[in-house]
Amino acid sequence: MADVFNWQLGRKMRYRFPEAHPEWQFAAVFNINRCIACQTCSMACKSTWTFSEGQEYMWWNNVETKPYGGYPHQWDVHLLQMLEQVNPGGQTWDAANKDAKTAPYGTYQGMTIFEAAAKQNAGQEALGYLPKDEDWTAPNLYEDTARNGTGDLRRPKPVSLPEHETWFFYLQRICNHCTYPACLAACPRNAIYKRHEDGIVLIDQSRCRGYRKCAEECPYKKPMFRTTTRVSEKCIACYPRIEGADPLSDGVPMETRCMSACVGKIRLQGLARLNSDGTWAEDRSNPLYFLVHVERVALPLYPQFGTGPNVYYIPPRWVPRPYLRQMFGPGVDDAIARYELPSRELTAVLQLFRATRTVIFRYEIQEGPKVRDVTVGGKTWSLYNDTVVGFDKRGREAVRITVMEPFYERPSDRYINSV
Amino acid sequence: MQGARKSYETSDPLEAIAVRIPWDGEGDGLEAMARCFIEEYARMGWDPPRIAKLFANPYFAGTNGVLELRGSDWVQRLIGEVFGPTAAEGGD
Amino acid sequence: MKRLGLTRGRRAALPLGLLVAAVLLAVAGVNPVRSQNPLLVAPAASGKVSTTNLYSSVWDQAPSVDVTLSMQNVTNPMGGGEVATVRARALHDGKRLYILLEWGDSTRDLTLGLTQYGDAAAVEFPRTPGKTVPSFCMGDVAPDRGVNIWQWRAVWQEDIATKQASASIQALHPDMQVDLYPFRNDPVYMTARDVNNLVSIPARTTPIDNLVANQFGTLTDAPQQDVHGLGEWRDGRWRVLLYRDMTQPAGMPSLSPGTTTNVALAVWDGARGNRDGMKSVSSFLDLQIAARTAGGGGLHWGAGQTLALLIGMFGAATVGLFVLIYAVVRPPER
Repeated sequence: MADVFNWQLGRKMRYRFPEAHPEWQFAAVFNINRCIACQTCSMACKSTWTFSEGQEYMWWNNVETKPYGGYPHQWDVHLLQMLEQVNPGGQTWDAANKDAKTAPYGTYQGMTIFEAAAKQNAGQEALGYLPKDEDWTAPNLYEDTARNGTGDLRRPKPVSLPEHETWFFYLQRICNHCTYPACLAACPRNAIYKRHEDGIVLIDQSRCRGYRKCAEECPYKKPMFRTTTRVSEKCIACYPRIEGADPLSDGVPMETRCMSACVGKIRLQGLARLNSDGTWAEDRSNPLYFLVHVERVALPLYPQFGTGPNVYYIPPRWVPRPYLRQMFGPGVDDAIARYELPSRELTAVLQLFRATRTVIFRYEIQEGPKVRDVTVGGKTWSLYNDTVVGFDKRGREAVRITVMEPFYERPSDRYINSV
Repeated sequence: MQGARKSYETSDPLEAIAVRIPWDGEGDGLEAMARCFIEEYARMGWDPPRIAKLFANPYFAGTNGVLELRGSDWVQRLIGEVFGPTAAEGGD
Repeated sequence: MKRLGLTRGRRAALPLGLLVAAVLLAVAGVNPVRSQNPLLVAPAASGKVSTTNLYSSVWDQAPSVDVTLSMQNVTNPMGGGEVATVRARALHDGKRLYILLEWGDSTRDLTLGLTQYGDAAAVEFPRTPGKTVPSFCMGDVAPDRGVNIWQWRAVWQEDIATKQASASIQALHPDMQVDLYPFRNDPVYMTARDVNNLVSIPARTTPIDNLVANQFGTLTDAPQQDVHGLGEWRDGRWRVLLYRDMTQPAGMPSLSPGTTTNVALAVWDGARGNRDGMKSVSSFLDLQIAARTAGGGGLHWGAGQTLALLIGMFGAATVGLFVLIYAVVRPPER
């Protein structure tokens, strides 16, 4: 057993293996504000990897509706409840005890799934449960089903701003390729490993014997058992693309299928350089570093579980904050404030989402003219038509895009179907 | 092709789910929503004339409904509040 | 009380007494150093040992041992212990060593669904006979302190019986609708099967995996998959036969006639979610593979013969004891 440092929690925590970190870490930012749940990401993944016998129920990428939905059903509330039972009233954050680098969201006072398992003498590495067969049905059950503040759907209160009384949102999830994966710690045979070159977590298909301790202990429920081959499988982060081995990629890292296919342009994926202590190396012009560590608009999913997930979310602006704080930690209020009225640089970086499928390692902003000022929520916000340029791993220009989309209008008096 | 004919599932009735949100046509309900629309599109870089078309076009039922209820002057005033002094210039 | 002293005569008598006792014990095949472990003896069978009929009368020749099992609580994941005992028997025919296990299990469990686990059983030998390996363990790190495990799984038995690689998804979920499986004949999409994972191989020739381990977490396929057997479930009991040629591939424990080694047993009840370390497991037994081969007037260890031998041993031991007492206690000669 070892003590490892988890910067998302701002403290050390218990883990099965001693601290070790990859050189680069697969990471992504998902902008929940933009997702329309078209499920193109889910279909992109399914049509690439999980279309064979035994994989019918598998959605390595899924989009579920919050608050009532989940794939598998209630995966998050079930685990939150188990943790609450082990540590009643103790699952809290000390948001004041912060440090920009080592505790950006504060310090977590509660128990991680590893600590809770130890406290309970659970006889396994992490607290968890194995979902029943039925839990995997209807991946977007309660799609578009809203939570209502009064609890009475027949007589809801009027909508309020900025947090809605009646709300739902879509949560898009893949394997988080965690820093301290619970699946990796759970596997008694060491059949799961994390790659040094990119931090991608994989189940060794020749070593797995189908015990499903990984499926039981992963808090996000992304390892999935395949009954035809009798071993478990999970999201592989399309690693041939990350390696640059895909013929399309021209030898440089390319984003995964689910990222590339995103219609709503909500996803940006890349590789973050890590320090040896697992914190992100300072990389000011890397878009992921900027979003996660400079602007801090993107937050980890349920960091309190303790696995150090590497997919970060820009929280939905309209959802009541207590719900969001439970899901993304205390950084929510600052994240939403910074996203609502984005800084000039953030506005530019947001244009990089889905501008290219080549992984952007560095960006540059070329300043453009001011477009206008507008008043939003009583505050003034300035819009500039900057140009942002993204560079691939070899430093070649991969994309060049402006903040203002070029707009051409057909004369509406000439064409019947003009808008 | 394979598989049996799917039987009706009571847990998945394929019903449309809608939530009625009452407003009495005055005060914050409608104005807040309309202002929200304008602000969102302004954030995306739309200029006032373009946003005004959202309200004018009957194929955008939501915003057009607001214009029907409140009139185009009311809508223009609201747009002006969001865009401030630049509204008169029409932006770029 | 007379002071005890060793005269020349006594000095001669003492080793003589010990020699008598030792010879008797060696003939009986009992190693006094190991005598605190339960003992499983594999006598040489008289007659053929059937590999298809687990209820054959040849098994009456093998003394059975009821081995106590307990929960595995040494390392994660912990669990098991629901099966309290397994009855073990062993035989050899000079060519192969046969082990027969029997235990109670009210349900016959195969690994079919996402949350279903299968029944299984295993025997474990130290890879180097005589090398002490800690109990409840999967061997030790040192190269000569590994273990060899034969694991039988009910689901593989079913594969062989049904001649299928696994139950089809259609059979498991009859109402499921699938319109198309692209690239259905491309083995790469059967992942684990394509890399010859033993758990997934499409055409099993044996329901038993031959595995090696050198401590927790290192279990790996042995180079040869030459352990065979059969399992049958009848009226709430499993009976499983495991057997292997006694001739020895390199690196595998010698199980030839005359070998004394250890064996441990484990049983998994699928209905309880048993798998991996979550098992009902025994500590090491002594395993003695009888020296004589069948048909050569070998010793037959039936119950009656065992009793007769014990009486004979007791008698001989009594004589030996008197010799010892005489050597030690008799008043010294002048």
